[in-house]
Amino acid sequence: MKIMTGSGIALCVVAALSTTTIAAAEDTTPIKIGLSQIASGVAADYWSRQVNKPALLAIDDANKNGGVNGRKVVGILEDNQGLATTGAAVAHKLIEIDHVNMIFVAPTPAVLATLPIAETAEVPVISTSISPKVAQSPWGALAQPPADRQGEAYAKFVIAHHFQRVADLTGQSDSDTIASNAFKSALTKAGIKIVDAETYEVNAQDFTAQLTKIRASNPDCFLIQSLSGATYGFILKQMAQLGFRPPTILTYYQIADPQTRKLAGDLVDGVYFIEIPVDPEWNARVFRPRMGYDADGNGALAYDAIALYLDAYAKSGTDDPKKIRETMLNYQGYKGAVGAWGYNGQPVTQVQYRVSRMKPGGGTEVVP
Amino acid sequence: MGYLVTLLTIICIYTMLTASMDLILGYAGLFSFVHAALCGVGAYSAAFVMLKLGWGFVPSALVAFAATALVAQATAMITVRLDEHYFILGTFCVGNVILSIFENWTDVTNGTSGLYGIPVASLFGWTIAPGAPYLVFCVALTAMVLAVKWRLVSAPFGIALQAIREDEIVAAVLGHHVRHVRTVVFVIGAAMTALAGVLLACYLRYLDPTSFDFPFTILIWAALFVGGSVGTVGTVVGPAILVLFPEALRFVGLSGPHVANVQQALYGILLILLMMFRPQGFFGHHSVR
Amino acid sequence: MSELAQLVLNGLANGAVYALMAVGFAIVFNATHVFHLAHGAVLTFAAYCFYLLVAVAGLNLYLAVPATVALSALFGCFIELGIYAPLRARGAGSAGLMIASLGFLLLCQNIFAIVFSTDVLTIRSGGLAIFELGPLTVTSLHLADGVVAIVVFLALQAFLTRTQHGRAIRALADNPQLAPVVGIEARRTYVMVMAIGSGLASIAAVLLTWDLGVQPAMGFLIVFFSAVAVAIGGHGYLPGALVGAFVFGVLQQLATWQLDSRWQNGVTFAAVLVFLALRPQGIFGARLNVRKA
Repeated sequence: MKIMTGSGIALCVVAALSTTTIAAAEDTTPIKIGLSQIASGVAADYWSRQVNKPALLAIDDANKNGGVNGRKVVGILEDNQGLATTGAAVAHKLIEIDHVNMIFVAPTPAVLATLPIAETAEVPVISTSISPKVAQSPWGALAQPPADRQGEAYAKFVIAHHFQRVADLTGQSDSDTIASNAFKSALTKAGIKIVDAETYEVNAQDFTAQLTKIRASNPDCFLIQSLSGATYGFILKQMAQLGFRPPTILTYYQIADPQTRKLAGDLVDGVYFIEIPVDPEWNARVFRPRMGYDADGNGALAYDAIALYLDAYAKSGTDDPKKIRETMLNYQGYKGAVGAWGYNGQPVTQVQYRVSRMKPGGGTEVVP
Repeated sequence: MGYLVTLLTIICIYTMLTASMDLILGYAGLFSFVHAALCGVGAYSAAFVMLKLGWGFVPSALVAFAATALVAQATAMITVRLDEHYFILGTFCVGNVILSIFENWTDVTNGTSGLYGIPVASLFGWTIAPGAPYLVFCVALTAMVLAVKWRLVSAPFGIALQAIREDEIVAAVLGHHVRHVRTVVFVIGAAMTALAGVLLACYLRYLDPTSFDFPFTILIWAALFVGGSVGTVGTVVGPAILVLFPEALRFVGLSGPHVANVQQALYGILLILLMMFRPQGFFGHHSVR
Repeated sequence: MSELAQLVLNGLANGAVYALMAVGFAIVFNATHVFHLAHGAVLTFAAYCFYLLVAVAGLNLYLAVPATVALSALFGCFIELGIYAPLRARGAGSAGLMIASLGFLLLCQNIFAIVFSTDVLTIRSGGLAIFELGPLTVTSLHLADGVVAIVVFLALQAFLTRTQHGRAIRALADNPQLAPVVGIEARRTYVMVMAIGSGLASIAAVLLTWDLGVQPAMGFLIVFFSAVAVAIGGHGYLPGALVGAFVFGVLQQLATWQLDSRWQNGVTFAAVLVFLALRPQGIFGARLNVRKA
């Protein structure tokens, strides 16, 4: 295949020369981290609380500890609106105008639009999205367990407790759909019956049709997937409206978001959920005093993803992004917001889910 | 450099969308709410044959034209009969159905996970590299679309459109086949959005349903009203302003979780002020009435 | 069978709230010919008012509800006097008014997001008291929704048929050219209509907020649903809007019956399209939704 000749090549050369991202080998140039995240729309405030601010906190803490080998770390936060088009524009801006050393980006549409651009510019991408495509890219790293691991965690709980009639309510989102498929195939393999599976639109407020059908299937364990505490609140309320309370309810850690209890009150009590373990000592010492609220799994991973990258940068002793990424993926002995954590040589984090339960009156407890 | 090239590429694609919206809304007076979804039909159909069958740009674009024209024809058949305001609702309903198909017809669209790894545009065996070469390609195609549109509206067809928009009863009395003309302009406009969709697919190399939701159509409306309807300059200036302005805001040092809300609020005020004080936009020849 | 009956019941409950919004939208549209998308902004404004009065100021419901309705009516008047009337004075037609209405909806949505954040703000937490009718369940709030919708509608109809102002509104809706000739002043009537429409929206807001709380974007989809309900019921006939709203609510639920619920949206709107294709004038409309040429 021939590339267009003539002025096309000239333009390409000029563009390539001006987009070099390998930082000059001066000891005082700051390290720049580009944050391409959501800062608008329905999820904006949650995202700010549990992704943007924790990431910026990690940068702050790194600076407090002397930066990376004495060099200051700067975070540049841009709103990608959760869209692919804006994500692409943000990626270009961060790489070509800001000359960032690394891009920390989510959610999925923005990451997948960013990847081709980052690959061409040889800029590492770290993401808390769950798309397996990130791990397949030579420049990507997934800081959050991929969605199929989520589905398997749900299945493990169900199989361990010998439930026989399982129902599943999932949102129309990338992660929920992949997790749900992994969940269903794991259960089918174990011979457990899925009595009903329903889906809802992500920004919906009415789930009564789906819940009516699930109620009719009479499950003994009900898996509800959502990425928003408010959605969990609405679903629990509407279940109560239908007089429907299955013996066991299993959810994602968003159920512990304060918004859920504000909406659903004590309907939340006794609900099980899978979560990324957040180290309570880290939360009490590092996070809560400065932010005024607790970190959840997202917040902890955002913090750790940035902090581990910076530690690896310092340890690698070079500015070569490939070597830094290598060091990061193979870094051993990092202890942070989720406790001991790392990539173990794979471009996918090795953190595992644990199961917890909502306590009556507030708070959560780990279920062994 | 690459950043500017990116923005100019997006402006080209949006110009194509605004020009087609000008045909449908500006000249013909049809408030189409399904524009972004039609762009998506073009984008997904082209991306599907590029990804799964390895086809080049031209055959994929033809598939996109065909698919989008079919959907537009079906849409027009139902909605063109409806009163002005119910046309919006009819296209709103169609938009919802199309979005539902994007999310759920996973065999073709891969649902909410999206289509990743769409190949770079290749024209008769030559790859058009991303960046500046692709921008040149987009500019050429946009110029072509603007030329086609200009030719169309300079012909008696364009006059018929405007006559129908102004007073459909008189136009019918004078012998214009109102429904037929409206359907034709809607399908032609849809074909242009299909081309924009193909360019978008090859540019982002990734498609997902959220790219074609209603806020995108509202953005194109805003681009049309700012630039001015019924005219060519406006269909370039409008998108340019609406793409460059938010990007410029990034450099003014505003930060915090509500910058985008301020931006959207400004769009709202802009629409109100435009209707009050300058309904023809900056370069348009027709005031939105 | 009972699953089907429950779905219908759910649909009627949702339909009651849509009905209040749809009738409000219809009354404004019929009399002023404005595609009043800002109706969604009124809903959200009313919801935040109600939230502030009850959850923040601690007012009791007997005071908070009338206050919310009054404030919303005033908000509606403000929209008419501040946006629609000046636009008409400058010669704007229905397209220009609709776009300005959309602009105002966007503006309000984002101002609310900035002031109140995008989180859901709640008045109360937990479930509602429910009644069981055999295998069916319905909440106290849903029953209230249905009763309120019918009662308010009947009161509105009484107002429109028995009072002078009400007849003025209907005259203007019926024949905008002739009404001023008999002394009905359009401008004042528009303000009245906007106040009534906004009052209806505020009642819907109170019912919604009591259970589901308030968030900035809540008006956007609901206003389109109410417009669809009006199209289904038939242009120019208020009971049509009421019926159309209940039909739409039930349709949304039935779209999941025997079908994979991920297609709920697609099936609902495809059904609406089929209906509009076969009967564009709506259930009660007399060829009024259709273009004349």
